[in-house]
Amino acid sequence: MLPCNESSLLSLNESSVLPCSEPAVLPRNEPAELPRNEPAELPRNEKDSTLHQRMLQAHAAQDLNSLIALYSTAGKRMETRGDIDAACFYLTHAYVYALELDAPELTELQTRLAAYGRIHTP
Amino acid sequence: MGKTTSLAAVRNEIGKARGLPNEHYTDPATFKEEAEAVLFANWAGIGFGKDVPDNGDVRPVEFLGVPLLVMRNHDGDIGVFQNTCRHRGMILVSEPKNLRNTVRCPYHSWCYSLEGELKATPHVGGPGHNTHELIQPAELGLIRIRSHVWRDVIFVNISGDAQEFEECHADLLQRWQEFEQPLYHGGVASSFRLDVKTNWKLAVENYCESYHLPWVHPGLNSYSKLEDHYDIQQPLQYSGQGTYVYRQLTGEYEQTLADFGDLSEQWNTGAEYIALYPNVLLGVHRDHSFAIILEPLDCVNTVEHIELYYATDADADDNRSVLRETNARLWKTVFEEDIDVVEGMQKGRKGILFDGGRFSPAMDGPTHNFHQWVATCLESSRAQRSSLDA
Repeated sequence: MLPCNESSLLSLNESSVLPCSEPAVLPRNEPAELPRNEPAELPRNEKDSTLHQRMLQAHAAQDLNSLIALYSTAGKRMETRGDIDAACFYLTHAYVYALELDAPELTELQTRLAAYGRIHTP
Repeated sequence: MGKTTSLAAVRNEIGKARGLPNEHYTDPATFKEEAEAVLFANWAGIGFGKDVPDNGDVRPVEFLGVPLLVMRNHDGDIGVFQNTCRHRGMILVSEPKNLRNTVRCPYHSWCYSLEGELKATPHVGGPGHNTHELIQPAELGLIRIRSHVWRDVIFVNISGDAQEFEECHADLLQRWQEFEQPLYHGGVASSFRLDVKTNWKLAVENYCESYHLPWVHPGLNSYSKLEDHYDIQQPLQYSGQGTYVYRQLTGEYEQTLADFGDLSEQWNTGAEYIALYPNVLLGVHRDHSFAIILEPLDCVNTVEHIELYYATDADADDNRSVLRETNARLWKTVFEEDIDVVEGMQKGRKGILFDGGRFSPAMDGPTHNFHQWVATCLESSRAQRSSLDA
């Protein structure tokens, strides 16, 4: 049921903190270390695996602001691909971290998830 | 549960009464019985407001094994909750911190507001589906523990069925009504803890009587003699002692600590020390007060958490900092002088022929008052249990 399949956004492995146990499907030659302090929002043509690495880095640093941005980006990509369940999976993560921080993105994330019927109407 | 102790002798009038039987100080099963009948069933102190100073501050506290979470919400109000997620029972907060908005469970990220409302249940209906018809947030908020803050002490009634704090303690609130004014904690030096190898009740018993003062605190004899003290006893509520000869500390240039405002004449040289049952020890003076929470770790180990408060903000009243530190040091010395006797009474209760001891009708009224209260709580609990069993 988890949104991990051939078209999945993220590669996941045993050390991943993301809630998915499907095997990794993306190339292994992606850079393990990414430059810090880059903007969380990635260019559209950035590889999904790069986004995944950024997520792992943000999780390791407990950088909730970056996690909100990165999961929002992931959600938008999946929306673009028409996979609404997967989109809502990532938007949910962004929403939870936004809720924790009372971040400015909270209202928009609530609205989007509510529009898909995925949270109780705020 | 072990054997039920006999409390009849405790309930006698003071001249004929005996103290609580040894098991109440030495037997883990009786300790467990008291935890429920005495400490959970009444308003027990579990912490201080000064330890959650800012809105959004949360602090986990364990009280007799029950994980609690103290939270100060965005309105500045303190609430106490069970520190347990309503989903799979995970501990929610493991260390003090400041939260912007929600408590997020570290396991599956269920989120709660600072008022304990369940705000998010991520993926509860499947990935990306955050609702489920059988999981109703309104039914699954954090379990709130009844709490009340007075004199910066956070009291809880874990059983949830005690009288309202202000009704239960109306007499003491009225007695010390003049001291209902802002309290300012004295800072780092005004905060200390003592780890004592004794049952918590012995710390209460020692605190509430003045009989021991000339023997255990000989330094007080020069200005605060035994005859300058009086007993304070309110049946089934509190007991303690008062003095008529409180003498203010004076600094190098005769300066004193700032007084609380508009106190009546009796407090010019008066001070009172009251054990508010079960486990909070309080003291008031014209220029400072203190609160001690007795944290029973087990049958024979207690932590005394001691905090001193003043009439002025320490940050804004820097020129009295030396006086505050001296005052804290003096009190710490007094409280440390009591350790030998409360630990000695604990050791003495290993004497299997000790029968609970006797009370001086002239001097031990406050202690007997406390024993009677404990016995009443236990008898009430036993009666309730019997009626349920029947």
